[in-house]
Parts: sequence; C-alpha cells; structure tokens
Amino acid sequence: MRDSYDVCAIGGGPDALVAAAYLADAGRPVLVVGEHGHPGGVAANVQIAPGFQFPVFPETLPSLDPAVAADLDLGRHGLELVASDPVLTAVGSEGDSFTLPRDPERARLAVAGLSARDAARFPEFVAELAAFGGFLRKLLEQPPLQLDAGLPDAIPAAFAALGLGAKRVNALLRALPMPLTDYLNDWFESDSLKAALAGAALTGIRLGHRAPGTAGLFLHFHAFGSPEPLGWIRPARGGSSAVGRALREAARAAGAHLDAESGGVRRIATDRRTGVTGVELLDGRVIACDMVISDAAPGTTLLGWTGAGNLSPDFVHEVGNIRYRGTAARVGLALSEPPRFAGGPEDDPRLGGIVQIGGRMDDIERASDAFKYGRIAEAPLVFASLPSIHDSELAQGGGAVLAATVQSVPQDADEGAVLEATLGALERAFPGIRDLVTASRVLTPGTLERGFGLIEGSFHQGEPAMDQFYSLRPVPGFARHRTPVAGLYLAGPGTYPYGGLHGVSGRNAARAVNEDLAS
Amino acid sequence: MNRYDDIVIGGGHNGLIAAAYLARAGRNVLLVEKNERVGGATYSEEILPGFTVTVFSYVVSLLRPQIIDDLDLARHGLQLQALDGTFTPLPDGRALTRWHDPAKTRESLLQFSRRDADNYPLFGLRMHQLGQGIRKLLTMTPPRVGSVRPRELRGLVELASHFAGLGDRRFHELARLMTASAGDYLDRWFETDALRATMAASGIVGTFLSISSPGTAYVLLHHYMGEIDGASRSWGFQRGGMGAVAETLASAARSFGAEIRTNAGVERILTSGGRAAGVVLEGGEEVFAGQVASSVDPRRTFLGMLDADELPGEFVEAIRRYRFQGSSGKVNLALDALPDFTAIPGPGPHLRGAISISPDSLTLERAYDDAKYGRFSRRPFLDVMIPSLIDPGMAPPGKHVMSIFVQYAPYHLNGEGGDWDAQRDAFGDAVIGTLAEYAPNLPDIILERQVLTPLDIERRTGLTEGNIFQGELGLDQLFFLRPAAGWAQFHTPIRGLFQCGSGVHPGGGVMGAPGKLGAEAMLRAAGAT
Repeated sequence: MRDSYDVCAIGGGPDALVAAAYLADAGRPVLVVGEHGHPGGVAANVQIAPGFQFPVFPETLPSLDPAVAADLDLGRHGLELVASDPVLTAVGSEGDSFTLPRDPERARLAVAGLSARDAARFPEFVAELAAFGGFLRKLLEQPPLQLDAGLPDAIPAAFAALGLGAKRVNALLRALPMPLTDYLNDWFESDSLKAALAGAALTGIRLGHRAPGTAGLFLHFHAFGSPEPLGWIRPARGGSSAVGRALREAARAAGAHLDAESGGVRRIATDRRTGVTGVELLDGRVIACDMVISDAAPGTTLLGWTGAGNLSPDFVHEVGNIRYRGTAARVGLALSEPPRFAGGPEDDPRLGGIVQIGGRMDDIERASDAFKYGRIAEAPLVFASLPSIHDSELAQGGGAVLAATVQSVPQDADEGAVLEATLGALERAFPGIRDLVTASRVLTPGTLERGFGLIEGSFHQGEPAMDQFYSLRPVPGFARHRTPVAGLYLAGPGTYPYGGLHGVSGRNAARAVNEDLAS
Repeated sequence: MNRYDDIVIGGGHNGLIAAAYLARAGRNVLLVEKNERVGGATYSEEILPGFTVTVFSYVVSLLRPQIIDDLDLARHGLQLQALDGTFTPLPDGRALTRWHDPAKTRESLLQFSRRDADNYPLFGLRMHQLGQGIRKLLTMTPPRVGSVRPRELRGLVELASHFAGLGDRRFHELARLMTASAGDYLDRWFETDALRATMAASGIVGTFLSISSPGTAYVLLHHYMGEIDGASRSWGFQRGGMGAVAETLASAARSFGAEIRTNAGVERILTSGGRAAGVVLEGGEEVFAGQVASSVDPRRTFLGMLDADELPGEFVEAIRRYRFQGSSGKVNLALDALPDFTAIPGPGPHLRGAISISPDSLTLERAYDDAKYGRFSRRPFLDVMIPSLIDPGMAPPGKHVMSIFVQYAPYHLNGEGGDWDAQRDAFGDAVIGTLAEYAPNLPDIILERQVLTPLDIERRTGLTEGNIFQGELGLDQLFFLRPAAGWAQFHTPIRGLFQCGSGVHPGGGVMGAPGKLGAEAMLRAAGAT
C-alpha cells in the first residue's frame, strides 16, 4: 500500500469494489479500504457451524446487474448467477402453495390452475413488466434527474419515454406511486398469485403492500436484468460471498489495491477550501487522496467519518433525518439433509428456488403490522432458500444449508425468539424440519448493524419510501453521488437505485468521479 | 322548456358552483338533482324536533375565496364562522390544545415540549411558503402527459418552469411533502406523539391509508391554504349547518338565471353521433342540451349513465380500476347537555372548536389495522364538533347537537358479524364508547343518535362506496391521473360531456375547485364552437 492514491473507495461494500474496479480500469490509482477487515461487506457468507456457511445478503434482492457484470468480466472471476426454475413457491397458512415458474409461458399455465381469467391476463402483465422494466433500466444508466442538473441530462430519459409511448408512460406514472396490492388487484383476482408476486419486493423494508409506492419498488426491481416476473431473483452460486470474491478479483485485476489489514476508516480528512485531502485508517495510517467514494450508509460517511463540523447545519439536519428502519433478520440453519415439502419428492425442483412462507396477501400484511408495535410477528413473512443445493461447498459436512430472511424483526430481538418464529414458519412448508436442524445462526438487525455497518440493520441503508427515492435519495439535492464536500462521493444502496448487490451505484459514482477528473 | 345550453347533473356543491359559473357567463343552464333537495353531501336535517344536524360533511374546509367573491356568496347568506382551534383530550387526563391565538397554543404545547412549542409557529410558516408552491396546481387544468401537441407541451413546460422558479430548497421540500407519510414528515418537526397524531390525522381523513402511509403528508398543507389566500373565512362552520351552504350556492346559481330541478334523477346521458345531446330523467323525460356536465362520481357517470360501447374500451377499463374504498362513517347526536371531558371539565372554549380523539400514533395505527382486514375500528379516530355552540339555533336552548366524523369504517367488511346493516349499532356503540373514555357523561346525555355507515352514505348521497372524495386521494389518482390519464382536463371521450365533481382534479377536500374549473372548460369549449 502506498501513501497516496487518486481515489480511496471506502465503506468496503460491493459498490466500493465496483467503483474501484471501474476507476482502476480507467487508469486511476485506487485504494479500497475494507471495513471489519474484509472488502465486500455484506457480500459475504458467515459460518453456522464448522463446515456450514450461509449468505448474509437476502436472495430475494437484485443480484449483479448484467451490464456491470459484463463490464467487469465477472464471469471470468468466478461469478455465476443461478436463475432457478421455478423462481418461487409461496406457502399459505394451511400448507397450500403456489409455485411460479420462471418461464412466462409455463408461469401462465401455472396461473391457469388458479384462475382462467388471471391466466388470460398474464401475457399482457408480462409485457407490461418488460416494457416498464426496460424503461426503468434506461434510468439506471445515469444518476437521477435533479432540478439543477440542466436540461441536457433529461434528454435520454425523455427519449426513453418517447420510446415507451404515451399510453405506457401514463400507466407507469400511475403505477409507480401505487400500493402494490392495488397494482396487482388491477390485474389479477387470485390471492395466491398476488401473494407470490408481492412478497419479495418487500424484502427488508417496513412497508407492507398496502403502502403507496410499493408498486414502484416491485417494478423497479424488474429493471435489473431479466424482466420476467420476479426475474431479478438470481442469487450467486456460492452465496453472497461469491459476489464479494468476484468483485475483489476484478478490482485487483484492474489494478486497484485492496486493504484488508487496517480494519477500516476512522475519518475522512477534509480541508475547508479544497475538500477531501485523505483518509485516516483505524490503524493510524493516513492515506492522501483527492477523492473518496464511500458506499457506507450516508449517515456513517457524512456524520461519522466526515463530521458534522465540516458540513452546513441544514445538510447535517437532512442527513441526520434519513430513516433507515432495517426490519429483516437472517437465519442460517445447518440441516442433516435437505427438507421436503409435505408429500413432495426428494429432488423437488421447488427447493432450488425461493420458498416464501406467506401465501395470502393478508398474511404478508399482518406480518408487517407487528413491526409497528415493536414485536416479532406471530406468523412472520419468511423467504427461505437452500444455497447448498447450488453449491455443496456451503455444507462441507454433508447435509444442507437453509438461509432465511425473516421480515419484521425488531432491532435487538432475542435470537432464540427469532429462531423459534422462523422454525414455526418453516414447519408450514417443511413439516418436521425442526428435527433436521443440527446448528443455527441468527443475525438480527442489531447484529447486522454491528457486524456489517448497516445502520439499524437496513440492507437498503435507507428506507426506500417515496420521499427517500430517486432524486430524493439519500437527501434532496445530492442524489447524483456528489456531496457538499468537494471530492467526496456517495455510492451504495443508500443512493439510487438502492437495494441489491447490483453494483449500479458503484458504476455511476465512478462515472461521476471520472467526469469530474476530466473537467 | 326542454332545451338548454348546458345541463349539470348532480346538485352537490360542485354541481351548484358549476351551474352558477355557467349561468353567470350568460348560458342557459339546467341543474338536475336526484334528491328532493340540493346539497349532496352538504345537507342538514332534524333528527329530533328542534335538533338540526349537518348530516354528512360538517365543516367548510377550503371553499376558494375567489368563488365566494365571484358568486357573491356573502349576499346569498354565506356566513362562515371560524373554528377556534383543536382540543385533543388524552387518556392520562392531560389536554393538548391549539388555538387561533399563538400565545395560547404555545402555552399548551409547553406542557409537553419546549422544542415543539418553538417549532410549531415555524412549521406553520413553512406550510405557508409551500402552499404558495402548490396553489398553482390547484387552480390549473392538469396537463395531458405524453401528448406532443404544442398546447400540451406548453402546459408541461409551464409546470416545469413553475417548479424551477420555486428554487431548489422549496422544490425539494414540496417533493418530500407530496411523497412522505404524515407521520414521518411530522416526526422531523415534533416530538410530542399526541401532537403528531392529531396533526397527522388530518392527512388520513377520507382515505384508506394510515398516518404512516407514504403520500399522506401533503394534506397537511390544506390546513394552511385558507390563510394563504389572506382569508381565514375559508375555514369554518356555516350558520345553519352545511345544508345552508348548499342553499346559498343554489340561491347564487338561481340569481344568475340557472334553473334547478330536484327529484330529477338522471337515468342516462343522451348521445348523438358521439356527442352529448342531453339527459333522460328517471321516468323517461328527455331534456336536451348542447353540453352536459356531471358532478357525480366517475363510476356512476361513465358506467351508470352511459353504455360501455359508447366509450373507448381502455377508458372503461380505467374507470373500472379507479378506486373508491370508502373508509369513514358519521355519527350525529342530539344531546341533553354538554359533554364533560375529564381533561378539561365543564363548558369552555375547548368545546367550540374541533375535538380530536387521536391520543397517540399507535392507536391510529391499530384503528387502521382493523380496517385493513375488513372490520370497523374498535377504537377509531374521531373528529368531533358541537355545532350548537357556534350556532345556538341548531338545538333548543340548553340542548346541543354533536357531529362525529369516524375513521375507519371500511365499505367492504370481511363478512364476520354480518354486513353494515347488521353492524350499524355495534359501530355506533364503538364510537360512543371511545368518546365516553374521555367524556364519561356522554352516554347519559344522548337523546337521539344517527349512525351513518359508509353504506348509508352511499345510499343517501350516491357517493360510490361512501367515499367522501369521490375516489381515493392517492398519488395515482390525482392531478393528471384523476380520474384517468388523458381525461383529467374536465372533458371526456364523449364530446360535449364534461366532469365537474370531486372525481376530477383537484379532488375532494378543496371545495368548489372542480366545479369552477369544469365550468370554465365548458365555457371555453362553447366559445370555440
């Protein structure tokens, strides 16, 4: 490690690595500082018991964006995304279930088993998702439009809108602020189908599907790569650590230096006139640099590392008022053998996809109510997957690993209570699963905050409600990665386009840095 | 005579205002009303001899001052009396009060939080500033998004430059206000939960949303709009109840020459060659006109008074998707005496304004959770008024009438416990029981009670699903999307047929604006032909 770099990429999450890889590839000397000793942050697996590991990051959030993966040649660095088929099985309270195939035509046939009317509408629904997803994907190509951005910046979006056509533009403008439940009600009558479609878009957030704006989150996720229903669900083979590993290798291959010893950032050194001057690390070293990209939560970067004293009171007030509201726990189970659905076969293809415990719209909504009152839901919404099916390395001792995202868990809920609630939910899909559990690990939102720097345990580093989205994210006026401090840039899920391991904000922040370096 | 220049369907306040503006411009206008009197939801009746209640709507929120002036409503008897503040009794016996007099408000808030007492006037100031940014929207015809016609593009550019003119800070604050939940928005300003809950409750009136639902914050602005116009007169209570407001509007319309026919329900709208030609009244009478405007809600207008094959399929589908989801009820009481609140015993100025049962945020959340699963709230949010204290003529001497607006009362029940007719009494009991927690003498002083479920509101006023705003006020159903994209400019797919009720921009709660804007669109169209 040298004493100075052009750019320090800090925060240590996937977006810092993505930004570093892009900038190093453009010939910039870049240092990546890993928090908690390892660059990659939440793109990691943790141990359940010796030989058993489970991914930290929820499988139901978007995976690496195909464009970013191609730019960084991540396939060559070992990244492989698993597009399981079926994509998801939603299990209801009476053990009833609905399985959504990934292929739209087979999905239509499955829907026909629920409702002929819904099946007839399904192809049009798929077409709308593809159209909306395609348009929203074009928005990902640049930072959000902003009042002060100037007209030329709006031109690509305007052209994309023209391409979409007036009818679809109006339909999209209507759909984005809708409650997801109302958007789905417009299309379908089958509650099981609606529940299967609605759950995953709510991963890690407090909002239920009755909250205005949740339709926008659902549509937004369809911008990431594959626009078929729930097509964004494509977790990496080997779990989220496989994403971290591939990104580290890509960054290294591009020439970035990765620091894994310092333990992380103590503060960002700034000068009132010139802005960023360097980064002070936890081990006491000071690295000189003119530019810093951070993918940590905006509050950490700005109030923790930069310091309120270096910012205007108004800006500090804005950043201090960002709502985080992490609500999801992660639970890893080591199992003596893969679980089985009641009456299901041994090599059940459904086990390769997501198993959502919560098969009715009201089940999902009720589960989200509990969080308001500060308790774990009696019947929580759970997204389970079996990553060891796709990579046996995760269960080296044999058997299987089940990874679950449990919604509506208070910050420092009792781990035993979370585990119990999770097992209770899983029993509905997999009767007798309790007897298969040989070891378990619970990461509450509080644990995720302490271990991975996620404020309040929010995987999104900021609640993705309408008033904290697009050009209002992370705070109004600073949605385009730049901050009031010259040379300090924000990336990560706290900025648009929020949650997931897609790397888009890292790429866009790197572009902003390159633009500023060029001018 | 059976031929007019314009026919207005529906004699609610918007219909009356539209008719008045048309007649004022010299048009030959007929207004037809299904019921035996005009008023729609602005309607008073006696529930006991000598006890007059204002049955549905209970307060004049935002009658636009320009309408009051244009139609010379003061001369026709409009006499609005400002409500003095809000009283929120709390379970612990304390009282949170807010008054017109800032010093008195401050004194009350200081019992709870110095920070909140300091912030309260600043909040009002901020709302004033933001209200100026939004006023333009309320008085304009929404643009047609996606159209590349020069006129429509000009509208969009005007809108964009209006926002750009606000400056970054105000624009951002406005964007936040339009998208945030009332609860979250107020969280940034105040720490006293009872204050937050009471203020946030105004953001959910008439909607099927909770105070933590995104998009509810912007209604907070409405409460500051009247004063922006330099006229606190636009917020208040009408002498004689809301029925008297309708009478002044009808009187104004007649004075300009409009003809008003009651007991004249419309069976269908006549069309000829794709153009509105008049209406067929119940009983078969045909009345003809060059232009027809409907102030009844979009579902009843387009799906009830026209055949589906007279309209484009996409439009019919959009109207079918238009959401109502009525969420509120009303209880009117005749009282033998005044209620005695534990928080502030005896009579006093606290009873002369609004009394808000909104003790804390979680109570309001629980009330909403009940409704989500198809039950009326067991402990609802209540917005209470005692009109007889403001207008003693509404009850015999020493006696009183009370108006209680109740939320939530979902139109669609889950079926447990029967339909609304079966649950009306239980609903009334829950309302009285909730209020009696704060005013224990209430059950003993009730002489008569009138319980109105959303089903009753639908039956008696014609408002679909009992939605008091003629359609949910969600961001997806406002401005250029109300009631459907491409048809938010007051005209409809049928030439010569217009909309002028709360089902078009700017929606309910902004009294009279759709009626005025609808009439103006008709006058423009008439001038053009």
